[in-house]
Amino acid sequence: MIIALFDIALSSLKVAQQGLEVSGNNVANVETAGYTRRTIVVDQLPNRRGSIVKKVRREINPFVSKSWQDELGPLGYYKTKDNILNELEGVFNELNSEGIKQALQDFWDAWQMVSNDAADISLRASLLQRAKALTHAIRVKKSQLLKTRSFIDPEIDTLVQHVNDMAKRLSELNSKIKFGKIAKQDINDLLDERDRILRELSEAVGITSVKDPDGQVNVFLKGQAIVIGSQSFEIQTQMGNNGDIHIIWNGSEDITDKIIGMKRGKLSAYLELRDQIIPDYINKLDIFASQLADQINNQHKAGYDLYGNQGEDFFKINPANPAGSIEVNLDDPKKIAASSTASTIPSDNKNVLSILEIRDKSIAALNGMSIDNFYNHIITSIGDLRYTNSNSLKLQERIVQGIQEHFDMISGVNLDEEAANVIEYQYMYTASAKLVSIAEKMTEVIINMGA
Amino acid sequence: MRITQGIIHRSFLINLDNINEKLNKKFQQISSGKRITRPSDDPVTLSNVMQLKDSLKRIDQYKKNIEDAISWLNMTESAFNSMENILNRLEEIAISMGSDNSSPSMRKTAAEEVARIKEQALMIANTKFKGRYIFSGFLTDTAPFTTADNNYHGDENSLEVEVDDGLKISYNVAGSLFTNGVNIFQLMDDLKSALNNNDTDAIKASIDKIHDAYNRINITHAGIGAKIKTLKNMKDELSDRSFSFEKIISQKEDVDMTEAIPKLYIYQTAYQALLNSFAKITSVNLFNIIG
Repeated sequence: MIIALFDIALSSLKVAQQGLEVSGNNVANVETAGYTRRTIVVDQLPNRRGSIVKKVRREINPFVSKSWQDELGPLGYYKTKDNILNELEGVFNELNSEGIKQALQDFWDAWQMVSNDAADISLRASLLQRAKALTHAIRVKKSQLLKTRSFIDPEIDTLVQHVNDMAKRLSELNSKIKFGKIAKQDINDLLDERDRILRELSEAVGITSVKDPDGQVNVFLKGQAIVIGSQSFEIQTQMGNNGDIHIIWNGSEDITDKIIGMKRGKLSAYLELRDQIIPDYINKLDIFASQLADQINNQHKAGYDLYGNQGEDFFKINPANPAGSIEVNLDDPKKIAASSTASTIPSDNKNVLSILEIRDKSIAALNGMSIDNFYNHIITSIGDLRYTNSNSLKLQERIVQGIQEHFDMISGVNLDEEAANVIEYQYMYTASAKLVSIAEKMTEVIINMGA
Repeated sequence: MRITQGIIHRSFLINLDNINEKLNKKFQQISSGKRITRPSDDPVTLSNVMQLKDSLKRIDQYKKNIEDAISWLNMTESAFNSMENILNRLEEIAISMGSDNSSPSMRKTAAEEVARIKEQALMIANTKFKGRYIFSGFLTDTAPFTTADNNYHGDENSLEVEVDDGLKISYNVAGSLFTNGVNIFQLMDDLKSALNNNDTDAIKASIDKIHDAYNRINITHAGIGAKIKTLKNMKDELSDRSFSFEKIISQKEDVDMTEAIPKLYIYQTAYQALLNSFAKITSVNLFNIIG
């Protein structure tokens, strides 16, 4: 009978120790992101033999955990898009700085001045200077756009590498968890780590995940498996024809475009900006440059310069790269063809007035807008794009915050609770120790009975 | 609801972020004086403001164009004044020399004066503005009149300039005004010959022609005066327009400091309160008490 007392006391000492250990560990991880608090599940031993810690439980709601993981996909997408749109907006932010807009106005004003006195060489020379400033501004803008775009590929490369590392780690965790479960080991830390990686993967590439019956998680990227059980499949980066990185799955399938359509994960945002949004603005700038050159050149060639010769091209442009190549073709101010005929020089300004009419002309290639308005439109449309995206970002942030709070309500560590637990286990420990000492005294009494 | 340290901590960080963002935005607005510092701040208003600014810039240029045209017209007007004075003097000469009171020798002296008057008239008709002959049409580097003949050497083209969106006005007068109908230079040569030849009939006959020439110039002169007045009115109208555009732009893009500065204080206070309350909340938990 007394021996049983020892067993009971020992079992509860063990339980109290484990309880203290778990609480202590909870306290230690109070600020660890994604840590799920543990509680001990205590059961009684049969035949009044005391108690035992049946298992250490992770306090988690799998649905909340899964929706946290899923909502991180759009968050990663909007956040990354916002970052790059911010840069892009910076390129076109001419509100407080000199840019194409200012140069364009100066350019038209210089034509006005020539129209006031077509015979004045200094006004003509100033027009050529203004035109050069304008072409310079356009070329700079194009190179800034290309630069912004070129920053993306290294990011993609690093991200894909990271995704592969995480996929590999997941496959390892899967097999450890599977065998740990069979061997009835404590796999809570492994589960925490796996959840953390799944969340990171979701934010990076917007994965979907499915748990299979033996506890392993299979991960898919737009329908393509990247982790199946204990196996991971690498996604590769491959240089395309134009020098851009393409995303290749399983060594053969190009899934770049599929990923763009996902609108989940950072990778989707990188690719969308690289392949759609930035090229769209590069294209708009090219159309702007080529229309400016064509319209002015056509009218300029209809006029006559101060030598009485028919006008030449005012702008020089390489059709393959209009915004990057636009230059002023004339060096000699006298070659500006202001006159409408060869015999009405020097003060005939009719051709200048015709060139000034281009300013308000609605141009089909510019969606019916004038040259000035088209450029204004470029600026405001980038503002619009970022404005819309940053609203989506804020909304998504709020969604994720809400879920995270819900997750914390269930899985987070509360120090007051843990303090109460610690006190409880401490008393349990003290009481059990008392029991041992009582049992010992009782045993002593029995032993001494014979003496 | 079960609140954990993690929830408190994160909500502190989120709120701190929010307030910092608001503080930073307000500070940016106040220091730049502009409500919109990036296109995404307010794309719709920005589009509007950019168009207004384009218009404003154009108005400035139209005003410059008008000023240039007015200078040219002023030059033209003073040339007409001189020309009219000359014609008045010519008329006086013709009237007094046509009368029987004048002697042949007086007429010879008058002939010399007429020769000098013609030189003056040529100078006036060849008036230049900023290096350009104002009475030559487009051929502003060609003297419209020479001593070699009494013909007009310029052309009939009008110099035009844009003074408002799609509105152009012409501001020059072709020198043919001096030679069409009555050729005033020929008239002067003829009067000079008549005076030298003591031909009173011819002298008398020139009076009407001088009158004709004077009237032609005077009518155009009045037109120039009216045009200058119109242009000045247009310039005033453009100034008014640009003033009201500036007002609209300012309303749309400038920061209202009386509203912005108190807001900045509110955010600052909120920031302070957040830090204080976080410090208070986190300093309390059961562990501190059980020690």
